[in-house]
Parts: sequence; structure tokens; C-alpha cells
Amino acid sequence: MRKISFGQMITILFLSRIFYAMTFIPFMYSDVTCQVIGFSISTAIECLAVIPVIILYKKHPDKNLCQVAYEKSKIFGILICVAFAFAAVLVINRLLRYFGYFMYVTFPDFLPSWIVIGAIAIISFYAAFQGIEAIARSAGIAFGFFVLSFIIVTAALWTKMSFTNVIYNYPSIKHISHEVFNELSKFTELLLFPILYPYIKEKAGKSIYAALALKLIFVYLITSICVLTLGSYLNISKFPFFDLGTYAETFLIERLDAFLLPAWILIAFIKTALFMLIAKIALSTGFKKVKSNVFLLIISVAAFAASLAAVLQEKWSYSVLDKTVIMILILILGVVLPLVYCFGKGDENETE
Amino acid sequence: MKQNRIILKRFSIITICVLFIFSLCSCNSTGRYAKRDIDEKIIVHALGIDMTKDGKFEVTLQMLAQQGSGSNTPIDPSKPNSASVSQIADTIPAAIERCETDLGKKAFLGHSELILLGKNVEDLNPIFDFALNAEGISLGIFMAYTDVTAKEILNIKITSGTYSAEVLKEIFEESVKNGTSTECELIRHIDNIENTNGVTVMPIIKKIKDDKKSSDEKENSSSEENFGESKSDDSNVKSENEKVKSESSEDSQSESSSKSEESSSKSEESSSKSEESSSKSEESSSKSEGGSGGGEESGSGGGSSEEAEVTAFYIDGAVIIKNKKPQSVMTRDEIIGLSFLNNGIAEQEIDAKLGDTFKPVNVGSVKKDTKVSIKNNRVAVDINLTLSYEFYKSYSEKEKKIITAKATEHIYSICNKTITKALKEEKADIFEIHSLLNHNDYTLYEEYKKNPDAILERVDINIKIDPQN
Repeated sequence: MRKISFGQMITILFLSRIFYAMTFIPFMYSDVTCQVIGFSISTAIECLAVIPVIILYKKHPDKNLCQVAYEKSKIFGILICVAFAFAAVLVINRLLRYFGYFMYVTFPDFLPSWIVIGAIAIISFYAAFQGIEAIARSAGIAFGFFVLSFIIVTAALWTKMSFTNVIYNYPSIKHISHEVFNELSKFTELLLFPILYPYIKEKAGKSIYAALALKLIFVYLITSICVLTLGSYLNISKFPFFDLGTYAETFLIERLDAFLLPAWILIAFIKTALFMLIAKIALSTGFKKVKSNVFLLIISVAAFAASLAAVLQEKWSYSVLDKTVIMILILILGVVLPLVYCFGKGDENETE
Repeated sequence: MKQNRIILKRFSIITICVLFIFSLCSCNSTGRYAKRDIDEKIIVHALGIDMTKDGKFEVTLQMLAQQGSGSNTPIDPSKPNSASVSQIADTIPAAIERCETDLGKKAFLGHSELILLGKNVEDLNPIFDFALNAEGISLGIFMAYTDVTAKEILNIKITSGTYSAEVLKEIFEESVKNGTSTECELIRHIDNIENTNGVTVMPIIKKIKDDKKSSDEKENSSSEENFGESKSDDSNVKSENEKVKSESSEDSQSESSSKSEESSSKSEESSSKSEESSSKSEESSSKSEGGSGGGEESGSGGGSSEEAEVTAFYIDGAVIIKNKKPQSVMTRDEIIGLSFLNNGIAEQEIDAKLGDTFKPVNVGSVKKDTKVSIKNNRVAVDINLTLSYEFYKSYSEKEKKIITAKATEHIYSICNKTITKALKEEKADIFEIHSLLNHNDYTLYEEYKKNPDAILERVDINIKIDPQN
């Protein structure tokens, strides 16, 4: 089994989360103050939620959650594998719809959304076909591009930031809890990590905490820059981070939105590829007789077809599916199940 | 060998994927996503929006004139480098579409620098709706009023600079630095409007006209309602400019005014009439300090004159917008006062009056401290401005002290004038009071959100100037 490094794992987990932060944070219909408090609380909950998976990793460092479940009970294991694949399809479907929406709003006459998501699905399929190592290497490039574009946009906007643009509101418990729920429904790292931890060379537990810390830092940074620069325009901005690019200018380039776009595409591609991969790993664990790439093809086609149906109807968001169902799956597969398997005897070749 | 085969296989798959994606992208030759070559698009640099008498929108698009570009050189300076097209329709997008039909090309608004509003524009709602929803319009696009029609300003074909709209943008940028204009980027207007009851300030750009045209306009001035006050200011500025010329203070000539000189000297060769006007543009630009750009106007607005006139632009005053509608006009001095109170000024020439003579001193903002306190149901906003003063070397220490005192007195007076005008008369929150209340007294801020006018009535702004030589 080809393994990836500690740094690559952090990058993968971070990028799988930052797509939403780049796209929708701060969210136009929510109060920024509540969102900032919501990020902090949700990250604290996330730090607690990963503990069972880390314990599971320490007990079974070379077996992913599906393998552990399959070994304990074959039928239940198959159910878990299918549930992981289903969760992956839902996440890919949500991501492709959001990406299609982003392209539809920002570049309406450039390309039809179905071509955009089709292209992302094809490239992601190829990356997932190549395996975790190829995705990890691409993630390194995407991360570098993201950080570079972030620094350039921030530097270009430095003189345009002002504290007078900051308008805060007294947060209410209701709004904060809503934000926490929203954030937790995006915590898809908890679906990735239990499947991918056998692929990491070392310090798997630390990698997820590092990714969470990195995510929190960037979410704070993005929110701060958006608030300091865009002010109350945030109330009507669909994609605040992208709008920073349209506002930023350097002495050479008039606007930097086109500069930010590759980062979006790369991150969307990495995340799609990762979830295709975990669906493939999960199903091939449950159904050992079938070739794993057949599952990859099925998953890719299913996710793309579901997204295509939504995109063609211009239905970009399904509240129950995107939040509640994914949230329940994250809770069951990422927290409850590892917690159940935490108890009991571990493998003989325990490491760390 | 096996390794090579794998590499070849991967390369083939990637190539097929890329070709497939590109073929999908280019297969559309009709409909919304029809492929357009670059020569099928026009790059719009500035948009002008006017209202017709029957309530329709007249949109003027200013773009790069290809005939102004030489075949081997990027710009042919002997020819005007901009062209414009206008159309009238019920909505702004429909008018733009008609312009596109006229040109036979698709308009690309992503590189637009300026949205100019004609004096007849009385409701900004459709304009903001358009600016926020139009594809590609930058949040940094400048938005300003003019005292004539936007079409008239955008039809002026400037031969200096890269292109006309860039010259106009430079005028705004320079004017913001010296305090004669407020920040006028689209996003700043939206931010102000969202935070207040639709209040923002938009600078007014004017052109310097020749005698013939000015006299024509004087006749028409009685029929012009919106910027009547501003017109009188215009004449004041001109008379002041003449005075400046008589003093022949060479130091006050700014960089962009020399630009105006250059372009006007070119025009001098073409006609003697141009010569007269160019000297006039020099005079005015010297006072407007950076707010000018020279050029040649080849016909204007609805009733275009066939004779070429040399003109220059300058920023003179601003319009207070309230509830997204123009409310009243602020003078140039009031805008300078506002700039001192809000964002600060990089440098502004203040003429300190000593007896019968004026002594120029260069004033710049160093620091601004603001404190908010509530006493006897009144909201006191104490603004402490630290200003730097730069003098001519020939002044003695005693003279410097007197000039400082006089200049400070003048700044006090223009700041108080601004406060009286905006806060007391118009009840317009152009001093970021919403932000001060939000950061200092949240209860009051909540009251402000419900009824801004009632809170603004209770606000007193006190200024303290700390001169730093």
C-alpha cells in the first residue's frame, strides 16, 4: 500500500473543508458575529468528535473503519460500506451543485454548468483512479496555489481595509446554534479520515487536529478580510471571497478574480476525487469479489448524474439533503461507529 | 519499458480528457454560450447613464477607438483614442443591448472604470441594481455625477493618457488624495447605503467650457434644477482660478494639470480658438489640483457643436444621496472639510488670508482620534485632528505661526460648514456615525437603525485641530 506523508494528509483534509469557506463564508444571509462565534464552537466540537476515530486508529492502525466493521460482522460491515459510499455520493453531489452554482453566477455566459461539473467529474475520476498518492500530490499544488492567491489578494487589498467597515451585532443563541449546525454539516473530514488513516505514514491523529487548526485560521482570516474590506456589502454578496478578487487590483493587473478561479477549480477537483476514492475503498472492502474500479465508475456516474439532474433544473441547494442527511451520516459514521469500536481489543501490531 | 508504457498510457488518458473538455467547450456555436472571439467584443471603459424626459435611460458606452491606434504603435497620440455610442431604452441592460446591436459586437463591462450619472438621474435604485447584477462589473468601479449629461462628458475625446476613462479615473484618485473628492468606488457607496438610510456622497465631475458655451449654459441655467447651486460654485472656482493665475504661483501646478497643458498645446496648433480655451483649462486645473485632464471634444450630447473645443475636467463638489435619491449639493470646500473629518487628506493647499494677501500652506492629515460620549441625551462626537503644515522656505518663524493659525481657522470653518450642511440641514450620516455608535454604544446603534434621523438630531460633532509644523 502506497502511503502519504503527514503534511499531505493535513493538506488533503484542509482542502476538503476550505472549498465551502472560499465559496460561502461569510454567508450573506447570516450575521457575521454569529458566524465567527459559530466557527469557534463548531471547531471545538469537531476536536472532540475526532477523538473516537483517533482511538480507533491507535487500535487498528492498518485497517480503516469499514474493514474493522466488516471483520466484526460481515452483513453490518457491508451496510457500513454502502453507507460510506452513499455519504460520499451526497457530498460529491453537493459540491458539484455548489460549484456549478458558483460558475453559473460568476461566469454566466462562459460555459453551461453541466459542462463545468462534467469536466470536474471526469478529472476527479481520473485522479481517484490513480489513487491516494496522485491526489495527495495534486493537493500540494492546489494548496500552494490557494495560499499564493490568498496572499496576493490580501496584499492588494491591504490599503482598502478599514475598521470603520466593521459592524457587529449582538449574537443570539438561536443564530449561533444555527451556525454551529451549518458548520458541522460541512465537517466531511470525519468521513474521510476513518477511511484514509491507514494510508498515512505517521502521526495520523495530529494531522486531523492540524487540519482543523489550519481551517479555523483561514476561516477567521477570510472572514476578517471580507469584513474589513467589503463592509456591509457582505449582506448582498453571494461569494464574498471571490468578490475580494474583483475588488483587488495591483499596478499590473486590474482585477484578481480570474486569478482566484484556478484555486477554486483545483480545490473542487481534489475534494471530488477524495470522496470518489473513499467510496471506492469502502465498497471494495464490502464487496471483495468485484474490481474496485468498477465501483469507482459507478460512484462517479451516480454522483454526476444526480448533480446533472439538479443543475439542469437550476436547483442548486437542497436544505434537508445538504445539511440534515449529511450531518446524520457524519454523526453515525464518523462519531458513533468509531466510538462503538473503540471498546474491545486492538490489533496486535499496534503503533504509536 | 513497462514504466514507459504506463507513462504513455497516462499521457494518452490526460490528452483524451483535455481534448474532450475543450471539444465540449467549443461545440456551442449558437445560443447563450456561443463562442465569441476577442474581436467580436468591445471593451467598455466607461458607462454614462442619463434620464430622458419620458423617464427612459440613455446609456453611453465609451470604449477604445481603434482608429486612434497606429498599426505599429499602441496609441497614436495625434488622434482621439476613445469612441462612444449611445442608445435609449426602458432599462439600462436594454439600452446596452441596443448599443451592442449598433456596434455589432458584445460589450464587455469587466474593465469599466467609471459609471457617470447625468444631472437628470434622480433615482439611483435601478442604477445600483444594474451595477450589482451586471456581469463582470468591478466593485472598484468609480461612480460619480456630472453637472451636464453623462453623454456629454464621455463624448469628450481625450488625446492624452492611455484612454479617456483612465484619465477620468486618475482625476478621481488624485482628488481623493487632496480631499476635493470623497471615495467614490461602487462598494463604498453600497456600504454607506446599506449602513445608513440610503446615504452616500457622489462627487461631481465638470468640464471647463469655453466662453461661448458658458454663455449658452447661463441662459439655460434657469431650467436646470438639480445642480443649480453647484453651477454658482463653478463660476466661483473659475474666478478664483483667475486670481490664482494673477498671483502666478507656479508651485501650485499639479502633475495632471501639466498633462492638460501638454494636450492643450497640441490642440493649439489646430486652431486659435483652442488656444484660448487651453489657457483657461490651465488656469482652472491649477486650482482644482489634480482634478483635470485635457482633451478635445468633437461634439457633445444631444446638441453637439461641430467646432472643436479644448476642455479639461475637474471635480467640484458632490451630491448628497439620501434614500438613494440626490438630496443636495455640497461645495468644494465642504468636501475638503468632509475629507479632513473622515479619511484624511494627503496634502491640500490652503490659502491663509493675511490682510489683503493670501499665503499658501500645504496641509496634510497625520492622525485622527474620535471619541463618542453621551451627555444629557446628546451624543458628542469629539474628533481630534492632527495636521501637518508645510510652508515656503522664505517665511519667517513668526509668519509661519500666523499662517498656521489662519489656516487652522480656515479648516475649522470649512469643517463646521460641512457639519452644518450635512448633519444639521440634511440629516445625512456621511461622518460614519453609524460605525462609531456600533463600536461605542450598541443600544444607541439599535435606535439609530430604527430611526437614523432622530439620532442624528442628537449628535454634536466637536472638532479639535492639533497643528504640527
